[in-house]
Amino acid sequence: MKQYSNLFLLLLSILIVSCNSDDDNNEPFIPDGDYFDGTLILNEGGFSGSSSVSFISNDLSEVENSIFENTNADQSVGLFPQSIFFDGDRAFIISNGSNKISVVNRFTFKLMETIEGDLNVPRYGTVLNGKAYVTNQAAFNSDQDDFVAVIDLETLQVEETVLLGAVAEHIVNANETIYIQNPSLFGSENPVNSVSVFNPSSNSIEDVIQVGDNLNSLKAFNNKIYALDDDGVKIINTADFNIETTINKPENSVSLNNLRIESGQMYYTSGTAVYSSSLSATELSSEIIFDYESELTNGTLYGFDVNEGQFYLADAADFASNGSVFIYSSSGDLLADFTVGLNPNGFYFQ
Amino acid sequence: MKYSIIYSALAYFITTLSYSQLDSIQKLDEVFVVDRQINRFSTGQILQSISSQTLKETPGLLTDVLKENTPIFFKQNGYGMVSSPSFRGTTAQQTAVVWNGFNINSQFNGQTDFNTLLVDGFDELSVRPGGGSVIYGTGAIGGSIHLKNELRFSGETNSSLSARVGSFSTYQNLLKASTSNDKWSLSLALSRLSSENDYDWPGTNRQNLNGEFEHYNANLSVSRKIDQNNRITYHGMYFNGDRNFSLVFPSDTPSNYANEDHRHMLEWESRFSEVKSVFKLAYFDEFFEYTANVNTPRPTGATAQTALARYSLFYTYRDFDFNVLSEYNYSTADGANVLSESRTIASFALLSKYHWNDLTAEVSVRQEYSDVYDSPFLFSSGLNYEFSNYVTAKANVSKNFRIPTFNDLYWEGSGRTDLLPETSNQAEASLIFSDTKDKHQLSLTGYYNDITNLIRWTPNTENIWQPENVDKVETYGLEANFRSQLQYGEHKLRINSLYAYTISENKQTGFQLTYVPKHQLTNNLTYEFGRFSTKVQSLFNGEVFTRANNSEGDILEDYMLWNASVSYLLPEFQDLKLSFQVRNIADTPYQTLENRPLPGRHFFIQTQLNF
Repeated sequence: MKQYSNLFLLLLSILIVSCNSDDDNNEPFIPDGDYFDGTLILNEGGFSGSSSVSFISNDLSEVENSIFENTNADQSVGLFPQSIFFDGDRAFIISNGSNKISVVNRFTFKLMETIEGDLNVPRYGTVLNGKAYVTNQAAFNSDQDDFVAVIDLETLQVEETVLLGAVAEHIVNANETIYIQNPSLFGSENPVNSVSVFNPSSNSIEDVIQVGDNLNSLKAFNNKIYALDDDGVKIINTADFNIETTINKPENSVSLNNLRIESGQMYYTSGTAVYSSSLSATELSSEIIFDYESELTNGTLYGFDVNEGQFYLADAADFASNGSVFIYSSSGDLLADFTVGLNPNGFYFQ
Repeated sequence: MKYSIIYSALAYFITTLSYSQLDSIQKLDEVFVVDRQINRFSTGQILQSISSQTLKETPGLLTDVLKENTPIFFKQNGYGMVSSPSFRGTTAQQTAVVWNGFNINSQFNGQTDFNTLLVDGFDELSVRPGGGSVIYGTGAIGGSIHLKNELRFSGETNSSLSARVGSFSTYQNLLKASTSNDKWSLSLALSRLSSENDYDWPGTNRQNLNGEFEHYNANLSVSRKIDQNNRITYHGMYFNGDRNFSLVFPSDTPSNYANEDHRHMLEWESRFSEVKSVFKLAYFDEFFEYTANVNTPRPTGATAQTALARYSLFYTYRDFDFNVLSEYNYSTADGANVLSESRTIASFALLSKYHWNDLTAEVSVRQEYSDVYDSPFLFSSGLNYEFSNYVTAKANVSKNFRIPTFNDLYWEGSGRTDLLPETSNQAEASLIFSDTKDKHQLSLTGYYNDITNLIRWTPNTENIWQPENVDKVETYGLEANFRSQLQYGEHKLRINSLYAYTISENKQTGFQLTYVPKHQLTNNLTYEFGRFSTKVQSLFNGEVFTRANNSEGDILEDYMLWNASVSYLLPEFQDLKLSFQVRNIADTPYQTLENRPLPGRHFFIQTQLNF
């Protein structure tokens, strides 16, 4: 009996201690929820929905599909979920077909609220000082109606919408300023690619930086902005909004996509091959780390990311089959592969 | 006494003569249709006809008519929305829709949206499963649907009016009128169908949103006999559709699709003893406009025109029937995302049939020449053999194709002119058992279809979507049809049952194509007693896969639907027919495309008047 009590007290004290440590600081904590230690995969689905979110545990032992649907009965993340952004333990899942953002607990995936109204084909979001900034494309055949929706993260209301005058796509922040990728309008005869500098204190466009053709990635790293276009990588100074360096791509390499930056290295893809260059390089490397050959009929590289030196590739196959995720080591060895939902388009690391 | 016998004989002779005269008049008054090949050159294949009365009594959309009377499966984005057929397990572009002998599948995507055709104004619809490219050209791989207008020279004037009102604020009106003398024949049909289409989704607390539509269709046919041997005929149709597209989720962007098609054909038929010559000119115009967001309309659209000249010679020599066909087809398209381009096709076909006692044999060939792509040599060969009055056997082999569409060839930045047509080699055989009076009939058909070079759009290495000849598909299956008529005094009973077993496999992966049910069963039971009639219908669709990899969790479950109607005829009041219909009696939740629920129990009242 005494022993039992001691054991009980011991357990209780561990629980109290762990709770206390959670409350006391924001150091790594063990939150509630099954989706803590792993990777989220967003599956954008098709014209009739079928979108979903999958989760792969960090030990790469298993995948759980449809975690949003399994947690929230009769709810859906909507048509064509495009991306997820995070604020603390909340995840914001943006659906560009259903003009809504599903706000869920990042680790339990329980739906907390839905942001609707004042959104029109929302694409990407970034969080700065208690507010979320979300790009909206509105009509696909116009570049004059695209806007940024400013959302108060307390009330989850859209406070203001700001017209951009250019196509709105990726959005990032660095040095207290918001940067928006403006690719050219699809099919435009005079393609213009630029980066808009958005001042969050005045909610207005402060500057527009012209870049090269086919701007396709925009990343923030160490207080600098990195833009990938047909010339290579342009590094934008966040103090004066000038392009301070251009790391040219080699003459012979074709279109580069999916710029990612981790631990002083840039990673990018071309076709199904993955490359990397140092941030201090003078020219982008054309040396292939590995070439991903689709293991499925007509497989297509539809999502790409890097995390802790590992490569995450999403294959949408024929866009009518369940997609696949392939995880490679830093040297290009296949570590694991999983079947996920329809048309996986992105990875989010917990 | 003797005199009276002669008199009686004479009287008998005169009466017989007058009867036979009446016979010949009735023959002259036979129904005239311009699609001459469908009945004449279908050797080895089964032809199913759907009567004008059936067309009037089903909701006016082609999807509904075919869903209830054939084993074609339709994938619908919600009721009245985009509807794509799968005929014998083939793709949506592999069913040809033929209007008065001309293929009218869209120049843009190669298929017909079966919810953009109002068919209650047509006089007959024929369905022919299996290949038909030799006569009808592109897309006749799974089968062909034939919309026909009929003309008569009977001297009669008829008209009918029909009105239908039902659930979800659905209104349907039809006016049909025809008149003729021995030289002229004129026929007109006007129809309209509109619906708020805001049905509740069965088994959920949601409603169909943004699904309203309004369609108009007009058919006009005129024929003039110039003399004994020459006749000029015009057929025209006009369709105007305005549809919103149903939302999957309430916050989706509401969109709209409007389309306007008109089609005209003029033909001159001349007969010289054993030879009939037919020269046709046709002009088709299709136009659509898509508005991605109805709140801030910025519509994009495209239009395509087709001009056609076709010359056919029909020649009958003893037990042989020949038809030589040559055709010139010029199409242009212009609009958003489609390069302004044109395409020219010349084609030649020879159809021949031999009829000898119980045997009918047919051999037909076709070659097309296009300025854009290479066309394969097409053929069809069939046999009909009557073993006895009770048993007939049929067999057919054919090679068919589906040409690349304007989207495939000329889509801005994506289209490719180096595509090949999809080709299909197929064989089928049928056994038909019937009684002598044709009151009971059972037909069994087995088929095999090998389709190669299927065109699919996939992203290339630079992530630009492009069409490619990639897929190979093998389909095979079994179709059974049982028809029976029973009569006992004033009681009449008609039964019509259809069963289809369909396997449609991607040859590279071995997986069943998505949205192709393996089992389908349709039963129609009609009971008539005097002025009263009632009809009960059941439709069973087996489960379908929604993913190309046939993943187990991603299926639409099988379902069984029940429809019923009762009608009462009042002959003393302009043949007024009153009908009441209940559809989906059991309020069964079902979908033919995932997340696109179709209506639960709903009702219609219909009145038909004949003058």
